[in-house]
Amino acid sequence: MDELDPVIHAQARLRIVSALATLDPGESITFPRLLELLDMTAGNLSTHLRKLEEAQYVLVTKTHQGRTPVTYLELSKVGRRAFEDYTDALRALLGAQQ
Amino acid sequence: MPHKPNDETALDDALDPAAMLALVKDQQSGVSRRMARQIPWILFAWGIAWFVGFGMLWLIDGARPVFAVPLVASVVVFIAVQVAAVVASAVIGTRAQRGIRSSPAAAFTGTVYGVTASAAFFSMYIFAVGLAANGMDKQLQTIFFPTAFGIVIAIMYLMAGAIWHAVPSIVLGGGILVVSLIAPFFGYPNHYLFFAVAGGALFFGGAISLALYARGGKTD
Repeated sequence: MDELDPVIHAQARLRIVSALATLDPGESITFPRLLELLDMTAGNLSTHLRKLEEAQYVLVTKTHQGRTPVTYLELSKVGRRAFEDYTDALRALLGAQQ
Repeated sequence: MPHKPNDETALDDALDPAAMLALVKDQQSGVSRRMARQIPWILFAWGIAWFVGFGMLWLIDGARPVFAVPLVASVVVFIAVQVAAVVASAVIGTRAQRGIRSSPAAAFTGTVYGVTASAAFFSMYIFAVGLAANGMDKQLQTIFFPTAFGIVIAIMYLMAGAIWHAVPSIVLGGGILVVSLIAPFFGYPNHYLFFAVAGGALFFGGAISLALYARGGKTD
């Protein structure tokens, strides 16, 4: 499975990227809402988001709503393409196995 | 290996390709279902608005001589339940979208859609006023108004389905269109009863279907 993207090829990061890919390009989601949708712990989500951000698959925007800091997350163009390539690669592997 | 969202020790591991592909599908389906979890309440609110609102209009003359509701009381209740449904839709819709920031393109689409809906309702109202000014009598207006607004509502649901790829919205829009076009053939006041029962049933049916879909992906 050398051809599978190691950044995405881990359960937690795949779940994060899959969830973010359901948003339209350019749409973003707050950290707490993503946490709620994924049912992960905050620490685990932060750890895996950092790896995705380092790979430039996820864009993190820190802003304020009034005085409250808000972190928005979205899949970058690179991340969306990597996700599509990854799922295509999985399908190709499964097709080759059948 | 079954997928366990909270099994954090396993979250760094990769599964076999089939399981990873299943994980993608499960996750995306779960997100869609969770996002849809509050929407049935909007449809439920509109089911009440149609059932109670049109039911009250029917009771002005529909159950005579056994029972009759004064015109003013019926119209007040009709307007009140419609306004309540609009408010409920706005509040629940905002809550369902909490934490999501639209892209500029999506915000533009949403704004144009909202303005189009308002312009369509206003245009239909002005059209009716124009027809009344040209001799359309009050009995005919009671037929024209609900069907005209029903057609606008149906078109907005159909447009929403096309824009946001929402098949349930297309089904509901199609249903509202059919109800709105059949209703005039019942004549006054029974067309109001048809709007109440058939229209109300459409929204209640939609609410139940969507609630079952949303519950299907419950993971907590």
